[in-house]
Amino acid sequence: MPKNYLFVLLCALPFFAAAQQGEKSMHLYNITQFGWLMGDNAHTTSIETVTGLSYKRYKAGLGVALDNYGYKSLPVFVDLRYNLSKNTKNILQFYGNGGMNIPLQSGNLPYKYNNGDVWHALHPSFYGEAGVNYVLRLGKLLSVNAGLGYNYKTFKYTEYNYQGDIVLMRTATSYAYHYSKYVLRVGFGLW
Amino acid sequence: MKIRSIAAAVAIPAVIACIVISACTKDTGYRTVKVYTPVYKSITDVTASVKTSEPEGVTASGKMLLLGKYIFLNEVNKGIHIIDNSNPAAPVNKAFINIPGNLDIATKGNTLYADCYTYLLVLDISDLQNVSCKTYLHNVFPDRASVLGTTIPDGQVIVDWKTREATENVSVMPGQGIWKNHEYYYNGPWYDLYAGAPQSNAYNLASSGKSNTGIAGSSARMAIINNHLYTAASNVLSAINIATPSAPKMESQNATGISAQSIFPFNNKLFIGGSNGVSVFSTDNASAPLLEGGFGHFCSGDPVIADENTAYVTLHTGNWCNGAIDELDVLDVSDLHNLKTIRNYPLTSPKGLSKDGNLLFVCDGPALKVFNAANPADIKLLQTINLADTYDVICHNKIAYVSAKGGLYQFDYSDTRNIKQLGKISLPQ
Repeated sequence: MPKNYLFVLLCALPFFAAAQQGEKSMHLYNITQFGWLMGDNAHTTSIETVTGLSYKRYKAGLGVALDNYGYKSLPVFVDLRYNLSKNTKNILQFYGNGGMNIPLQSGNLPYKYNNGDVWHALHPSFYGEAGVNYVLRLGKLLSVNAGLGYNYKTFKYTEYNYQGDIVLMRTATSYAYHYSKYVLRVGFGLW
Repeated sequence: MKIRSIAAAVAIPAVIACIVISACTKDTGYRTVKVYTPVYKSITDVTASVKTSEPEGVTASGKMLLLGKYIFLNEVNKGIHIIDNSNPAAPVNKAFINIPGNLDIATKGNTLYADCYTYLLVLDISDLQNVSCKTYLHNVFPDRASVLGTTIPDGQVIVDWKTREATENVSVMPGQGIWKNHEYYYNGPWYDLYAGAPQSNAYNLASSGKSNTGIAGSSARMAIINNHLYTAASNVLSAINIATPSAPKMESQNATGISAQSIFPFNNKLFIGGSNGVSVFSTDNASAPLLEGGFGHFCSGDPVIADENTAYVTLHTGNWCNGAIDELDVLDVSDLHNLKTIRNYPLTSPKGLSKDGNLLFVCDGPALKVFNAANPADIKLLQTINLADTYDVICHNKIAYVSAKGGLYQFDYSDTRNIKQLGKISLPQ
């Protein structure tokens, strides 16, 4: 997976380079950031990467993340950014994204019982983040980023159980967890 | 100057945002369950309404009993299907008897005994088109006085359930969110609500093999030996005199020593299968069976069958006691005071079983397995017949009646090298 990602980035370098023609031309951009999630019940890590198109002060892209808060998941989202200034070296930008949180199967919630019946069914749900990001360009292509945001994800699943003694009844209980936390992000960008 | 302006433009909203947002960083959880509320009816009203009615579709098949050309098939907690099996290749669903709370069936002559929660109903089946309830006994199955936390009032039975959805808060524990080292952190009440739609997971059949009684299977909780009906209900073994079939008399209720879930009669012995072991009772004194021996095992499955010197017990996971063993235990029962394990055979998820001569049939989760059990210490697998979720099996006249997720199957095993499916009663999937 990481190899594929690097391969795609390398292939896209000429398009990023086109960005140097000036901000008025549309060009590709990529931001990859590590995150430190700070919620009431846990402090943990995340990583995300966003690739999209930049035009003037606006950026729109698609992102994917790995989020360890509460229950490990793979958020997939649409990302929008707006540069507060026209300065192209030191940039403050607002960003916001929203999409789908895809929970990842793990031993924490066993998928099936020994007899093969489904035990836990995980359901995709909402993911979103908003905040402010500081971008410092280090050269023609590379930049470093640091940001602070508010992150929210929902995690839903259905648990199937057997209750009763003489007659076992299969029961279904739905769970929905809402995780809200700050996120501190640092990373690099290709512009 | 420009940098200051930008810093101020960002910092002020950021601080305000932090203050506002800080109130929103609380993790919250909810769980939604279906709450079932029982609908009651008096036992006199229920017994008065027991009669033959139009056939109904089989949706949750339970225990099964063979009687002549008929198959009596329990619809879990609802009643009994009467199936004409004159032609095993094309069984016909003829009628339905509505009995709320019914799980078990036994017959003697023209009398059918059926449980109705704690009650034992006595039905006249001399005319299957006009079945009626003649009488009933109370407290034969005391373990069914409470259903999913609801205690049934005296003189009442549950005839239906009303459902509604309820949502409650679930605390998210500090530390690492709600999951840590594969453990689930939840500090709310577990059993204040119960959820889900009842589905069949009951197993099948009950048998004594006597000529004027029905033939049932390894998971039955009722068995007839001569003039006595024996019922196993959790830790209670009841002996009921049915010398006059339509006027049963309770003669004794004794502790089984285990959490009994099935009963298998052989000669003058009763093998009681429980979630935590097997008990063997002698019926030399038919009115008060005497405990002769027992064998304990980890909390697991329960069905048991036996012959002269050997008992076969299946233990399976996925039941209420969360046992961790899936195996067939073969016991030496030649000395009832000293039951010994001959050998354990690991299986997938074994449940009901039946034996005909040296052939042993075991419902093993996704398959019906046929073994040569000529040597109990070295049972050989002969054939595996793939069937989803097999529950129980009865072998009779070279036909294996198999209850499984897809329906009630019949297999001709007169030629063990060529076991053929004869017919099937389908269940909705």
